[in-house]
Amino acid sequence: MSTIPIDIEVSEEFRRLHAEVGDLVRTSLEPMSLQVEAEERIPEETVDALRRLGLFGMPVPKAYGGLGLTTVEEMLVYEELTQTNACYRSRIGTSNGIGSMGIVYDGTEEQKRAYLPRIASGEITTAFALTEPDAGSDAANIRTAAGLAGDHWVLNGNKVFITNAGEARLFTVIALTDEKKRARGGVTAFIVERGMPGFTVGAADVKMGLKGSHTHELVFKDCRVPRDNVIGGMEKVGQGFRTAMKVLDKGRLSMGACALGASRKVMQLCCEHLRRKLASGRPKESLQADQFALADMAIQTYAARQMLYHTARLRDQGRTVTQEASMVKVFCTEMASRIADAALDILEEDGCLTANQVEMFLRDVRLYRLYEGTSEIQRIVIARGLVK
Amino acid sequence: MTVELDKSRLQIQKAVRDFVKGEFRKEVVEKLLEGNAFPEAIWKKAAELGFIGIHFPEAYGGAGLGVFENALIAEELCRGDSSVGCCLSRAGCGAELLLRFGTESQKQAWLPKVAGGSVLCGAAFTEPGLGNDIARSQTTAVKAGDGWLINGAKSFVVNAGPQAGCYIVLARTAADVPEPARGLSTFLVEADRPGVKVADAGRKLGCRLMPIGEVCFDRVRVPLEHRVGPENRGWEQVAAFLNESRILAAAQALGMAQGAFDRSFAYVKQREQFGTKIIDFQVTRHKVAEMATKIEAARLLTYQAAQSSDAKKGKSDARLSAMAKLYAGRTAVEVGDEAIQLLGGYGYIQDYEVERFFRDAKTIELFDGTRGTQRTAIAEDLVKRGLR
Repeated sequence: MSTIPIDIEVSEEFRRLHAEVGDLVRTSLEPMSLQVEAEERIPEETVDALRRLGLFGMPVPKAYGGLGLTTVEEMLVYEELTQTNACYRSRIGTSNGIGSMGIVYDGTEEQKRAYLPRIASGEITTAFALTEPDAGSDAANIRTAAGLAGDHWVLNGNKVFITNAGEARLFTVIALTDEKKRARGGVTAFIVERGMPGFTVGAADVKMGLKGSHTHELVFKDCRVPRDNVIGGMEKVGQGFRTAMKVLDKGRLSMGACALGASRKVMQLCCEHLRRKLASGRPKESLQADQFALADMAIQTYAARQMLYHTARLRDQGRTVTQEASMVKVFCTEMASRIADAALDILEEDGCLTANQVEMFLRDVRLYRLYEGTSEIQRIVIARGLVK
Repeated sequence: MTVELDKSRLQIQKAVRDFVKGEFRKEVVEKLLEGNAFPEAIWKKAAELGFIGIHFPEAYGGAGLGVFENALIAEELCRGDSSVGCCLSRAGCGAELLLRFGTESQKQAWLPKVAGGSVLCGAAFTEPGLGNDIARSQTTAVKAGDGWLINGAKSFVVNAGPQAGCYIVLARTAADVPEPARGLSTFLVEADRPGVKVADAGRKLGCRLMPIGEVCFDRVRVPLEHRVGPENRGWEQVAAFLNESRILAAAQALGMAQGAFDRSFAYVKQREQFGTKIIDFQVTRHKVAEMATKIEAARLLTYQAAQSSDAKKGKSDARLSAMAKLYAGRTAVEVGDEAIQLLGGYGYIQDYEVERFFRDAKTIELFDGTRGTQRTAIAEDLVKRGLR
């Protein structure tokens, strides 16, 4: 059932979109969820359905062909879209978030016109490349370097765990332009297109979950990128770290929404299983613990929802929500892991079968605590703000 | 009690460690994981070295040692590799029921084969939709002429694959009894009996090298002497068996926790971020301290349960066994989860192994009774006998 919390006001237009997303989830995405898991890919016609709804350009302004959704609206879509296999959301995730928002926030008018309409329509998928083998949580420690040589930049280095790199045609690549200044003015964000000389995408990683969504290594070997491909143009050289951090802010809220959607789906699967247990003649008094576990799930998701939409609303009002977004990410993603873990106990041995879905959610939501800033990094962000 | 291992136990421990070092090579394990293949060659070698059924009397191919030594081996095997380890330590799943309750000829026929690594044994207790409530088993065994006729389906049967030699089947022999548990008996059924059909359970969370399936018994005829122990006393046998196998499950979980710890501890000692080894962050130190403390506690409880079982000549204490399984199982899940977190993004990648240790641990936690079932068993015993 598609639900928008009653205290959240949305336009009729958005309400229709939200209902359409819900319909798509139930009639098309969910029936194919296990197939996506087994075949480790989303069929292209399903991606087309996501394109038709405009889901590749949710935060992209309408002037550039996007839906121009508010943060609250975007989170509502994520919460709805993640009540099934997490890979669908992942497929659109980079184009709505880290892969394109750099251009939305800091791009030149020319860059916006050139790329955003094609991103929003889903014609081209984008990816975001920051993480390196020695720069995970310590993002400022990147080594990929870019040097200016006449009318182009030359990039050298490796990026890892780059989501949607297999599908992407456009990459936002964060590289060092001043070894000494690093995060303080020495990092620049570049637009790199697939096929540029010296740029290759490596094999997909074998991961714990999100089997239908892939991460890859990127290799830049004397990769030549036109001079103007700095996001925001030459005047933004050295501003890339700020761009990257801005991009991650909203990403943290999105992670919260995805974790909440997954948690709600897991809860629903637990309710169905508990009903089956009762129907099979299991004495009710032997299922009290299951009911308490379900109650705990409801308590947590209720709290998570308030946090998420409250923070999204603040962001829509133009406030800085760095700390709050980190809190939302930690709370919601850790909750999702706890709920999936407790859910497996309710399903007993049945829980370990992929066919019953819950174990897939357990594996999938585990990633949310690791990427776009681990829970530890979020806690550092939160504590830093408090002590200041 | 004391947990100092004596000289002969230290020798066993060392022999298993050497075996693990020699046989659990990364490329071999990876190959097995690719095809979810039972580790046939390693299993045969483990049997040759006496690591399977070490607790069987010498007359039945064992070494006449105890539950303790069997647990010690399981711990080291699962520490070496959670997936291969759980296959080897469960090679005789159900055989203990024969060992404790079988007739001389039943034991002679099967125990040496299990210990010798020529067949696997599978316990067939639960049924589709039954979960942990196995006392309500619906599979029937009816006396017909000079034998028993067995009909029904059993689910989550460990070792239900091509290597299976026999199953220990829990079946209803009396329908009109005040309590469902009172009308059950156990039977020895050869895997190649006509009417025995196996269907693989399909993809699962963990323990993917271990064949687990649904076994259907379609008018399977076995001789009268294939009943194990007295008629309608099957429930007691299964309960006693579970009390023993929960110690083994605890030992497996303990080994998995230790193995996940080993890998993540090595990682944080070598990995640098923010110009510092990760181990030198206070939060990391406190995490590994917490993990190590839980592992030590799990070890004490598991060893105590094993020692108590041996002291009572294989009559395992219901409460201690359940406590060991509950605590060690949870430890393996929590330590595995934390190990993933310590590795950050790498924790999510199969190559770094900890995600697999976590998945295997959670699977082990669901088998032999979930956490809820262990708590029920502990409380039942507490109500009966009080604490101490």
